[in-house]
Amino acid sequence: MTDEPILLVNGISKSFGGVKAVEGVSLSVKKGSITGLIGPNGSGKSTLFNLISGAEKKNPGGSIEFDGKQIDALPPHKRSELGMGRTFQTPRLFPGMTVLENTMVAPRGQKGERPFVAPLRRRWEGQEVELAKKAKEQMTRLEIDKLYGKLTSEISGGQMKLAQLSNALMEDPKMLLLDEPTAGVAPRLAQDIFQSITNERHERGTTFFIIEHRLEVLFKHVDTVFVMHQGRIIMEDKPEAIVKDKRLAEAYLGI
Amino acid sequence: MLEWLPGSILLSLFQGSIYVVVSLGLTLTLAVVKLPNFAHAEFLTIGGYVGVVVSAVYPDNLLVIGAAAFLVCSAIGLAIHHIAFKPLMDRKVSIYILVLASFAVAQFIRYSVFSWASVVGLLSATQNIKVYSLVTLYNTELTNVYALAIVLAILMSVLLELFLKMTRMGKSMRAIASNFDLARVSGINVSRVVDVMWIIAAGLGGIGGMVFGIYTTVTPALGFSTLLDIFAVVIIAGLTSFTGTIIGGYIVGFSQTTVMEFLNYYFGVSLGYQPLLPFALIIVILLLKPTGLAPSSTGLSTIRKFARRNSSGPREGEPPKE
Amino acid sequence: MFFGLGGVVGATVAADLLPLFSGAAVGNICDISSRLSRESIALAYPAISVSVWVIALAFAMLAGGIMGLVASYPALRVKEEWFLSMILLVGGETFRIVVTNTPEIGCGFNGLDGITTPFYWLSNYLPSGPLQAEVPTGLYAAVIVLLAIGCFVFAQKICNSPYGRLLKSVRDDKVAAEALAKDVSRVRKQIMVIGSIMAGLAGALYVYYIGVATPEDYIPALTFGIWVMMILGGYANNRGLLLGAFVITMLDRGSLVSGIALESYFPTLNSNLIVYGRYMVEAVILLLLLVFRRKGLLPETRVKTKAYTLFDFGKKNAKPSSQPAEVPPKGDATTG
Ligand SMILES: Nc1ncnc2c1ncn2[C@@H]1O[C@H](COP(=O)(O)OP(=O)(O)OP(=O)(O)O)[C@@H](O)[C@H]1O
Ligand SMILES: [Mg+2]
Repeated sequence: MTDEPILLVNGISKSFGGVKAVEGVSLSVKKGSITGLIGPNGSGKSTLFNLISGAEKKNPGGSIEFDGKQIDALPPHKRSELGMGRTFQTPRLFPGMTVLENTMVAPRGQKGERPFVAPLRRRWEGQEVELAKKAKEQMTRLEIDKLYGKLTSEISGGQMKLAQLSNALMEDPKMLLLDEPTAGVAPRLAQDIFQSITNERHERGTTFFIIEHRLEVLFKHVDTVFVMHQGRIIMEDKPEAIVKDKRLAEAYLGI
Repeated sequence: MLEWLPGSILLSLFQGSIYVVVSLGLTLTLAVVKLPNFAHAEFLTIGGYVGVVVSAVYPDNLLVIGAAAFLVCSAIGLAIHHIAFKPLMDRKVSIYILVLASFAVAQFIRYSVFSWASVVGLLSATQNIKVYSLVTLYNTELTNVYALAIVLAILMSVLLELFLKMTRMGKSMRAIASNFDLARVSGINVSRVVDVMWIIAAGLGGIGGMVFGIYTTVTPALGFSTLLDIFAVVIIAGLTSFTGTIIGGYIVGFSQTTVMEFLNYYFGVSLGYQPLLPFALIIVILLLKPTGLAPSSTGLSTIRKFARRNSSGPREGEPPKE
Repeated sequence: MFFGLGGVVGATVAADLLPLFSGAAVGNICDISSRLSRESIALAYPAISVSVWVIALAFAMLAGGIMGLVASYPALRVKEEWFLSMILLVGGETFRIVVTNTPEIGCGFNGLDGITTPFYWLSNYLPSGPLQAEVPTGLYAAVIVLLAIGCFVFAQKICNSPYGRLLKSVRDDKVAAEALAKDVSRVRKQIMVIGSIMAGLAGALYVYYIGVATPEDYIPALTFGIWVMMILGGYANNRGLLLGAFVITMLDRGSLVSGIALESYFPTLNSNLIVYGRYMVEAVILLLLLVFRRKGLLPETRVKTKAYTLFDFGKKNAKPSSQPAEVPPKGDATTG
């Protein structure tokens, strides 16, 4: 981890009609860190992720900088091309495709993804096999390799979460926004997921920004935690300090 | 040099009135069951043919002929709802599947009419209703058909408005239109209200077709040839606004007749291009302002909600559900 | 719309180039005299008639592609999915009305005729009799079948490649695909262009087969038949499309044959009834499919690439989707 930020958010907001879901949020995430984002239900965490990834448009004003580039005007796929991956709270997979195909579609810049190269199998098959090996390794680590031939509309919610994580990791992103990666996953596997996240960070230096309700697991692995409440960031600190802070309980208990 | 103008305006008013009557039915369908019913225009054909058959027995008896057109179309509307659309809606299919189904229904009705008409030799038929002039103004005859259509458009709009605002049934219909699930749990007999909705919607199509059939030759393709015009009307109206439908009906009526004749007279544009103006309206509005030109209350948002609820997977343009 | 465009463009190019290449005057291509001269040129110059055919196909594909690109702009901008059906319907009707009312395009309402098959000249070398007309047509039909097989193989290759996977992902969930750095709009544009190039090609092939391009060939009932083919077979499945096309074409030919048979028994019967009946049957098939079997007869297949071999190894056919039945690849709607 360096002190250099990979993500710089400055004063962004989002309202839905009258509801101010995100209100003037500024934060920075350090390159190579694992950063947590917590807060009670409806505090605007997922909306903040949507604004960062471009799935939703922020209100005018404020800025988002990723890896040294201004990204707030870019469409979502351009942001992802720069190396920003994400998962969704309610898993979004491709229901008409198998788990393997879902994982294989993730890597960007595949040769066979161009329409006029696609009919020429020899041009892309080598890359395909390489990616398939990586996919198998990835899926085995997340224990979903047995499901490879199942349609993603046929697997359980927890398995969907894992499949989504496996997709996101296949992209080799610089930073990953994970929205509740362990919700609906067995407790033992939740530990393993965070272990893989930590390994990934050490091996490849990937930055993780994670929304999580399982604080006990999250706090074991993160460097920094942001606490969100009613659309604002109310605290930023190390996990040890956060748990001691009275404001956390207040936010969660709604006092 | 403007001799053509009064006659043309009158014709526009007539056509607009027919569009209003027929499109009110489609707007109702869109508002209540959220179905872009591409089979709606076939009611117009059926109404026209009921006019042909009944007027052969009761010539000039507008009341009997009109009632017959209304009733026959209502029955057919109910039938297609229960045979085709209801099973699909119960399965909560996407709006796209419903559109396909309505195309299938339209094609089935159209070619049934073709078959029947070719067997009895009525592929092109006229109604036995005398057309006569009521008054002549600026060399333009106001005939009974024109008057009938215009009066009918006003009458039907007012009756529908009163029905929706005043009666219990009409209020339930509005409740279903604004929130289907809430209406169901609040104890409204949804399926009965929807049945009544089909009776009115299809019946309006039938009456419109019958009056149109006095003016023009009735053919099995009569409805289909007006299908896109009717959709132009409801799209101008933002899909679910009744006021919008009335305005839209006359916009389309005028664009087809007066505007077209103007273009023909001064710029020599062929009258064969007549349908293209409403087409242009459809495309421009769908792309630029899908909420329609007229003030619309719920309009598209209702449809959108419906499409979202009715689909298993997330749809395009929809923010992720978190 | 793209099919019709291919037909009109193909016919016009053929009608203009045939006299041009053979040194005759082009004149008004809608004249009866020009029609006769087209036929005599096609009879006299084999090389010219085949090369004009190839050029006409190329232009039809080009026109289809350009039109597809143009149409993809509104298609990508619509807010509701059924608006797209609306726009395509409007587009198709606009095309028909414009062609019908503009004599400068494909000779307007009357259409452009005298487009003989590229092998018409063969009849010079054949003994007179029924064979003289049948052999060139039959040969041309065989060429169409070959091209159809070619298109099918191309489509299969595309579908069983990373691009096929990309297409499915874009279809399934736009937002998720974008989060994986997929340029959804570009993919949609590409596939629309590819599809309309194929449609343009089919339109020109069809016009060459029936010999005339008229606007009445583009009525919605025909498009409807193609939808039924797609959904009948399973609409995300190329083989399914073949099966669907086969069934519907059988229905078409069957209705023709039974029509002739019926007419010989009941001379008073209107032969159009059979056509109407066929459209009605198609509508009923579509409705039944939508209600009872929305996925079509054949299930969607996997994107078969080598990736599966890493997993399937040692297992025999662990697939959820069964192997679809083989269908003879001759169901193309334009063949006889
Ligand atoms: N598409 C939307 N339309 C309208 N309101 C929305 C939309 N998305 C979110 N909201 C509202 O914005 C607020 C923040 O929602 P958000 O989903 O960001 O919360 P969250 O912190 O992720 O909650 P949770 O922990 O339950 O996931 C909520 O009040 C929610 O109702
Ligand atoms: Mg959330």
